[in-house]
Amino acid sequence: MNAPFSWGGKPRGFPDPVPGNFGQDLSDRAIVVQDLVKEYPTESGKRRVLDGINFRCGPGERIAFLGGNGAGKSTLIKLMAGLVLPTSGLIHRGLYMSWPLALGGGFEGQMTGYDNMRFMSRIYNTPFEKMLDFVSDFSELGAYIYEPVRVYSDGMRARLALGISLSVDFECMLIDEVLAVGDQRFQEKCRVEVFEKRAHCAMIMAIHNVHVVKAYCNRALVLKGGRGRVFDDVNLACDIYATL
Amino acid sequence: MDDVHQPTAICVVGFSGPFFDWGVGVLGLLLADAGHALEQVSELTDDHPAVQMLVGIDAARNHPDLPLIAFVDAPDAALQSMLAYNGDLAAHARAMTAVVAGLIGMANRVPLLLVRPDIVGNISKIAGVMAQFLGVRPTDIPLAPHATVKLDSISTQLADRLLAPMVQNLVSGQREIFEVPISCFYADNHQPGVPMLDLVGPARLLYWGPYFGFPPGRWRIELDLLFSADIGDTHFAAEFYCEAILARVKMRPSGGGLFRASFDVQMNQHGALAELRIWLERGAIQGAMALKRTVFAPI
Repeated sequence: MNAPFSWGGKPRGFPDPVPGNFGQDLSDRAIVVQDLVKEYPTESGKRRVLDGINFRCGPGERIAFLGGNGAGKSTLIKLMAGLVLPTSGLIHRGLYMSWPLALGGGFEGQMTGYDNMRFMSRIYNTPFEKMLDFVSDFSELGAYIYEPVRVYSDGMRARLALGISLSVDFECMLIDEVLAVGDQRFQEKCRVEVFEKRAHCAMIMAIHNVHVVKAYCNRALVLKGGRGRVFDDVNLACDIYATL
Repeated sequence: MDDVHQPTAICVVGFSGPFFDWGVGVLGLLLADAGHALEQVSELTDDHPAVQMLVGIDAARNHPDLPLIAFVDAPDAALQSMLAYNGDLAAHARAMTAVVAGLIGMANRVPLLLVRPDIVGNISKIAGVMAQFLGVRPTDIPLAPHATVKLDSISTQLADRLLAPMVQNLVSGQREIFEVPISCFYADNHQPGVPMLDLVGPARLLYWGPYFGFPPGRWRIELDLLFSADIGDTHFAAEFYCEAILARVKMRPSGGGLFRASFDVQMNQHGALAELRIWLERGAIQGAMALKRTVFAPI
């Protein structure tokens, strides 16, 4: 399986950012995004999805990405995770950052859930028994743990991915609407695991649920028209989001 | 003089102040000379011993059958005397525009006498006109008051650009272009000395007011709006409201700079207070704007 990024922040095969280009202290223990731009080619020319995004997330801080459909929230999450590369700008990953929680795209379909866990535990240097115990309990997959992932439903795949990601001691969690996984009872279970048991973790989340944002985030980045603005007043950010 | 035409009740309208007081005093003198008293009342009663006087534009509107005398002072002088009494410029502007706009709507009323300071220099003539209107003999009347006008810039703008054209409209019967000074509008979170409104925030009302009386007829409203360079994809709307939304226009500037929006309004309400609203239709994360100019042009 290709891990979505390498620990320490630098995508494999890409050079270190040139010191002095952005003035970023590479020892900074934070997630820092500077002048981030992402363009996609389209039939009618390049479309700039993100246009100069800036924010910072330090240890224990929680920032929510708010915006309408197509505003670039998921694109930004993918950029943070290294799943896509920016057109320009800097992403400094000074915290041990997860892949997007519940992202099941990195599993090897022919392998069982159990074997995927063994593989992931080695990559992320997490004791396998600890991962197995947690994931078995959390994901509620039962005997399906020992079935090939290719037979899993999308929901099962997401629950496996979420369980694995929660079993690793990340310093910063990337969340892309993870609470939408499973039934209501499972979603409540996710909320407790993510927001209460891991209250010490930094979090960067793309989410539509303003109640979660107001309850758990201390800042919000509102995206509109490719531009973004960080608000320390989360209530104001939610009010703006509600009328975008 | 034939007392058959002498009214038992009259309506009197004007801008509060020395000129109005002079006018009412002259009415009293003329009637007293004819052996009649003049008494201001709030409601008409039968067999009242004096000539009953109802004051105000609303009374005039509610009693269309009564003779109407309007004492319309020069707007700047009237505004100055009103401000000397009470410094609430917006309230005075509302009152004055309501009077003028209401009178414009009653221009075809019979009988109507319009007394203006530019003709009261000829005292004997005005005494004769007023006496004829009342059905009494003319008599000697005092000169009308005259004051040197000195207003601040905002009050001068109000008097020159809004009130004077409306009064001219009343006098000549020709509708004039008038401008509402921006200072007459209320603005969202306005910071004194800051020329533009910060748009960052949820959708909301940015400008509203001035709650002035506007003359009847079809008008083209022109708004000059200044937008900052980072206005982005921001949606605005302008509404004109007078007892109902009479017009609404959506605006979406293509970038920073000064833009003009215009829309047409049919005003049928005589002197009812009207409101212009400028909305931010969607939440904004950047940008600033300012309302620079609001003009009403007759169509």
